[in-house]
Amino acid sequence: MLQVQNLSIRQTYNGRAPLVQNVSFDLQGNRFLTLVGETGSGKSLIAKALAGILPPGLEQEGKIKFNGRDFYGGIMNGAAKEIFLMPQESALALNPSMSILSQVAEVFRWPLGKGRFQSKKLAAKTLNLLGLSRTGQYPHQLSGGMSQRSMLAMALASPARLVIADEPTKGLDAGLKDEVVGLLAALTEKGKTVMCITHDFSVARKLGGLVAVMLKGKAIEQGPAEKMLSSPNHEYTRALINALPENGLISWNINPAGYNE
Amino acid sequence: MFSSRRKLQVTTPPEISRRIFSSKVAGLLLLLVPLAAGLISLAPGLDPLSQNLMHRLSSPSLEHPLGTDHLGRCLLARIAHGTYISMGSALLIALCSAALGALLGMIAGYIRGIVDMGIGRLVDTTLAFPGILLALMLAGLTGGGVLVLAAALIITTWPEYCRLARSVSRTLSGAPYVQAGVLTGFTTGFILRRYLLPQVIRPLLPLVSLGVGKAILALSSLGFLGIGVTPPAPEWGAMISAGLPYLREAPHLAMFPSVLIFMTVLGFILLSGHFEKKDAGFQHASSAKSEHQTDI
Repeated sequence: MLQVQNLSIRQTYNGRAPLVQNVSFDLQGNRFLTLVGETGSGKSLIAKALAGILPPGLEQEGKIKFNGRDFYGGIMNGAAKEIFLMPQESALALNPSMSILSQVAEVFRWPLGKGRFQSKKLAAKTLNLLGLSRTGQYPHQLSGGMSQRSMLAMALASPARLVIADEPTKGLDAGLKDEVVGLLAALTEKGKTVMCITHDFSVARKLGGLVAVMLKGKAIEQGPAEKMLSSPNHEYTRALINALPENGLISWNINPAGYNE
Repeated sequence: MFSSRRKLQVTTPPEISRRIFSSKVAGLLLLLVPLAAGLISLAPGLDPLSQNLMHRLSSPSLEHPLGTDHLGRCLLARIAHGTYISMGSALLIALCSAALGALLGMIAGYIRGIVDMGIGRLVDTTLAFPGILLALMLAGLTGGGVLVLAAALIITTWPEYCRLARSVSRTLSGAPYVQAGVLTGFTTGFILRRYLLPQVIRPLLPLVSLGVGKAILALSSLGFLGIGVTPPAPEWGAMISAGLPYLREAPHLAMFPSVLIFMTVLGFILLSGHFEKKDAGFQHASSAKSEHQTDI
């Protein structure tokens, strides 16, 4: 469904090493892909490139194929109905001047062309499905988990086939993290493909599917989650897995600088 | 957000006095006067046009609380009826030019590119053109009237609103929630209306309030110059100018409309200060929420 070949992202006016270098992956429909890596490894840039919203001053190279069609970032509206991006801070990604009910309803209303009352009804149903009963609330009244869930409701409502979740568990405690991961899993049951970007290996393990580990802008290792967890090839992957709390080994500092790609 | 914060606030005595003398209360109190004038005009028997040359230039009395003018017309009736012309058209001017400016500014700031450049040049051209001159020209060409003056003032005042709206929506167009909205597939019109407009209106409100005051002054000065409202109709500026020759024997002729203009304009300016504070408070409150770092 989504094929990325040799995607590189570099600064336009700067000859230095690219921020993302030759990343390739092939994501099948209805599956998960988790990009794991530390801050600064270029994960979010890949998401932005896929959505076509790279910040000015950055340019991308390489091929992105979506459903067999060539797709080059920058055609925002063209991609709008196919890709749904859940930005890093879901609290900031919700319109502060609209209640969550009307925000989700608008997704039904505009991209999908449903009637006003029907979309309100559908929106309320979707929000209730995700455990949000007070649908008249505004984004500033929501907790982190609640705004994450409203964002997921929008993802569920949207006609997009690919949902890119950028750090969906950022700033959430363990219980909420599990819940959000469960909701992401529910997205695939609704026929969507999910690409999840995280620095937390435990999310990758819970989601399953494909895992790609990013280090300094390169995808150093990728493969199915089970295989990756049982027999990681790269030192850095091993260090990340060892750093999971249940593995007992406390690693105070996994410094990416100490590893070679 | 505001209601929940207010509950937590402890009201101390200096706080109370600060609130009583706050710009909101003061502005609203001052605006009560023109409002009362507008209501008085509804009273029966107050005719701004009926003349009584036997009682010209009489001082305030029970029959004519504000006295009569040089044609023996009741000054109270004229000021009261003038409220509609002066304040009504000032409100119309401020709201229309704010709407026009906000619309063009939002389009320029959000769509950018050649549209932004075109609107920007239009703003520059309009700002370079003296407003009074345009009003004089239009009045000369069409024979004057409140609507012509209003049109002239709208044409010359919209760029202020346009520039503010443009800068706000330009900043907002890069905000995560606007990007998210675009990616969700909302149309440009919807993004402008539901994503940008609510945020643009907030900083625009003080400017609109200030604009009403300015429009009253501009209308009055044009009325004073003799263009705009045609003579028998009551307009505050025209009333001042009509009262000037009698400043010695009947100072109330020019004084009462002047005082009313002063109070109304001051009221709107104070109100704009209140909106400004509220906007600053909102920005403070929302920036506390958005101080997150985004990583790459």
